[in-house]
Amino acid sequence: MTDSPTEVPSGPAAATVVVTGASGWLGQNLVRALAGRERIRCLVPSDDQASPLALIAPAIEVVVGDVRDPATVDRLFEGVGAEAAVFHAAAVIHPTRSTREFFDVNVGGTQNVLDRARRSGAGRFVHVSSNSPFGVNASPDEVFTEDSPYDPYLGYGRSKYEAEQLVQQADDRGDLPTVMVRAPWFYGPYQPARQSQFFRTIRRGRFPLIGDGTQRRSMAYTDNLVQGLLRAEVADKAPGNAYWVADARPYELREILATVRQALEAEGLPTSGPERLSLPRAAARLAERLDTLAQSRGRYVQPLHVLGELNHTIACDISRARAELGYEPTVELEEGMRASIRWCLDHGDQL
Amino acid sequence: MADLATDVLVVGSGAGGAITAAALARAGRTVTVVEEGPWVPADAMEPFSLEEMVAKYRHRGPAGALGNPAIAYVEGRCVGGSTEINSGLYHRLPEYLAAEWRSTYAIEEFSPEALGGYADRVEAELSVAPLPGAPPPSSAALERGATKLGWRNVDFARVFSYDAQGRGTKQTMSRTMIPRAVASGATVIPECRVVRLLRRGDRIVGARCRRTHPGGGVERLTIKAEHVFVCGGAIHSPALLQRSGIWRNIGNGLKMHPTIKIAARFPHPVDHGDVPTHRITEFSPFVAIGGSISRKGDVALALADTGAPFADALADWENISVYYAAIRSDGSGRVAALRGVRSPLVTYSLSEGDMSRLARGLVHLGELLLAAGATELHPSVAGGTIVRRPEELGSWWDQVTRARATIMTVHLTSSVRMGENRARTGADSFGRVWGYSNLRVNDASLIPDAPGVNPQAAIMALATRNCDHFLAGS
Amino acid sequence: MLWFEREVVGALTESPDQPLRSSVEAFVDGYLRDMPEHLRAGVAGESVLLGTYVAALRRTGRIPAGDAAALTTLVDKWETSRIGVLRSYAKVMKSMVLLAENELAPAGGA
Repeated sequence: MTDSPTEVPSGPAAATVVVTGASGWLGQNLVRALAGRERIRCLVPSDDQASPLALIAPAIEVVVGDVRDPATVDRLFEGVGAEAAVFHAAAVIHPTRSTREFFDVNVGGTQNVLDRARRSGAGRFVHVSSNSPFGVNASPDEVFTEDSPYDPYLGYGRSKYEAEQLVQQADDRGDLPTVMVRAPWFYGPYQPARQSQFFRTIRRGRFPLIGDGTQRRSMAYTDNLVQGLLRAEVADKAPGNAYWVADARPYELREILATVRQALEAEGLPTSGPERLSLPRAAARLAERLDTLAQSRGRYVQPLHVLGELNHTIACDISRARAELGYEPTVELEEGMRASIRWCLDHGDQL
Repeated sequence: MADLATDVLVVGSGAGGAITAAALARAGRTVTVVEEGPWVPADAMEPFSLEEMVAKYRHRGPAGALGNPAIAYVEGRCVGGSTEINSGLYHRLPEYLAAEWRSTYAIEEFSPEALGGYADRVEAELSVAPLPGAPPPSSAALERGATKLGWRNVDFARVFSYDAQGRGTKQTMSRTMIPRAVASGATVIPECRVVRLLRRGDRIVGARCRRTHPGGGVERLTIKAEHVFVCGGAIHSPALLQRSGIWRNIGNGLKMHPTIKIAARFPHPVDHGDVPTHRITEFSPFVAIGGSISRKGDVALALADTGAPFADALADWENISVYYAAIRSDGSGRVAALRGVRSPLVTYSLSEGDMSRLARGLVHLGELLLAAGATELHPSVAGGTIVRRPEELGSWWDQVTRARATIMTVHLTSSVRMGENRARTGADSFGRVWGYSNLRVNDASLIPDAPGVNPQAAIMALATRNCDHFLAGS
Repeated sequence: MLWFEREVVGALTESPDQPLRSSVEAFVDGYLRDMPEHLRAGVAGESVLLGTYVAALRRTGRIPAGDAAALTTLVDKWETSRIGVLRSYAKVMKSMVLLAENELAPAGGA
């Protein structure tokens, strides 16, 4: 495996880029990768998230506001000339108030950004999508490909599905060239507080392993995902298409837990508790039913959602991203988890 | 109690019923149309006036589908049905939807070519034309705003015919297909309500009716029929079937085009007599934007929704026009006949996705109207911000909630549904109610899902198609 | 039309013009009469309850008897109530009066 991506026909990287969701987990990794561009226009939701970003590079300009708000997105694109590349990562995965947020931000926000991008003559719109519009795999051996049918999983899935429809429609009718990058469960530096909880729980042997843990999950280390997004920006074949971008292979859930424990040990954090804490599938199925019920009432209960999802295989095939984007993941699970753990320790979180 | 016998009984005289009556009478069948409502001469009342509402609307005005929020809707109840009270806007069923439905509901003979052929026939019978000349200010505003924002927009055609002076007449059923049916020998009985269909095994043998005479007396009437077409609309077709003991897949799956509104104040006078024909198609199929009737009463109602004082704005009503954003809903509703009560219970449930789409529609509509030069926007949201500048639009997102938004629909469909997929439909590909050999539905309730455009074109094309099928088979 | 409904319509109708006031009342009367029965029953039930409540307020002097403005203020309050059916009641009554008053007024006036 080579370090640099396979050469596929590509155009030049844009001098000006617009990034939404810039202060998010993925966004922070992406903005750093874009720091060499001439102009990086970022959208963040609040003032306190503006300065850390602005410090990364002088070419970074931060706009503060709500992606749902037309006036904010107007400001985001003000003075951005034609042929800019837009990376749309702004989304809600775990709403704090109600499931309405899924739709308002993931669909409403996407519509605003598509509209302004079109008006400013953007050269490419790279949309960060998800596995969620496709549901779960029928068996641990199955993987999603670019031909898999839609089967949205709950509120987040339905909102990301609707967003994909808007993005695809924009390309189909000639508004602007769009590419969708479908990212599964990702991990890496700049993670939010909930991810530290993930490490802490595994370290103490309290993370539940549903069933025998052979259900498989595709995961994407942030560097890999960012590489995929950057390839989607320039690859000639990309416009009008969607691509699954993830680590080289899916991992069994039991492998993920074992690997994280190894990574913690390797970074000098002794683990405790049982190697695995088994929980029967019935418990996860109950959590999923309760999650479905809560969401039907507009409520989102994160632990229920997470637990329900852990029962399933959600795995994808990255062949097309390799072939058409020249995407080649460079980081594997243990190395990626070690880097994440180091980042936490460097930022004062003792996990 | 009087008895009548007929070959074909058509219940309801709206877009579906009138087309059915005319087609079958022309083919030489003996057709009797019973219409619950009165015959109201076409020119008797000013269109969209209160007088018209009282005379031609069921319940003398809007009714409500219960839910959170409740959704107001209207139905025509007169000879000609809802075509007598609608805007007349005409748009063929989008091909991609027909393709989706053909697959999902397993509808036979539903190709774009076939449907296009039926639409051609409908258009040849009626006059379908766009507004000639320059659009009036209320409609022009939509075009102006859309052009400024670069949003796709189109002027919709209507079932209108224009004389040499350019004066238009809406081609309602009472002006067109009903007289043609009568000229071909059909009998139309207004003020005659079908209480129940009479069944014997898998056949309908007739209908028990109550007919109101001009003097006020009510007469019980039994009509024997060889074939029955139920064309009472998406609420009353299922209600009648249910009252007659037919319930399977009947009444559920009701679909609407939930709509949220803005009363927009302009710095110049606008027109108030007609519904704007211009539509914004930029966000189709998810959100459609257009104009509503804006008589003084409509403007007053729209201004009142925020709950803020509006006397000042109302005094300026001649500069105000009402606009809407209508969404494609993933929610659905239900019609349920209630024992011993004339009116069915109608309920509708909007999903969270729907509520968000309504908020998004409102914000897009607001952007459009400000771009068109409106100076003040009054949303149909209790406590909603009265927006005067684009920076204020964002506040609407969190204000559009189930408790505060005023939602209505002018379109109702899908409460029976057609297709061979029996798990999903109440009638087959041609409207024959499952389980019955001589009972058909031929109206908006057959359309499997909300069409995203004014449904009358689809209703009329489907009704024509289903009549062809009936005539070929008999 | 129940007595309380007549009172509410009277309080909400702004114009002093008697023929117009009668027309508005006649319109709302007809509308209530023709409502779907179960909805009419709900509205009637609320009218009885609210009527009793308002009568009690008047008896105890909390609001002046025969004061249209006081009743209008109450209806406005109900329109923003947390109770959905109370909001609907207020909205239906206000909407129908508003529509009728503006549509039935002689042209140019109101």
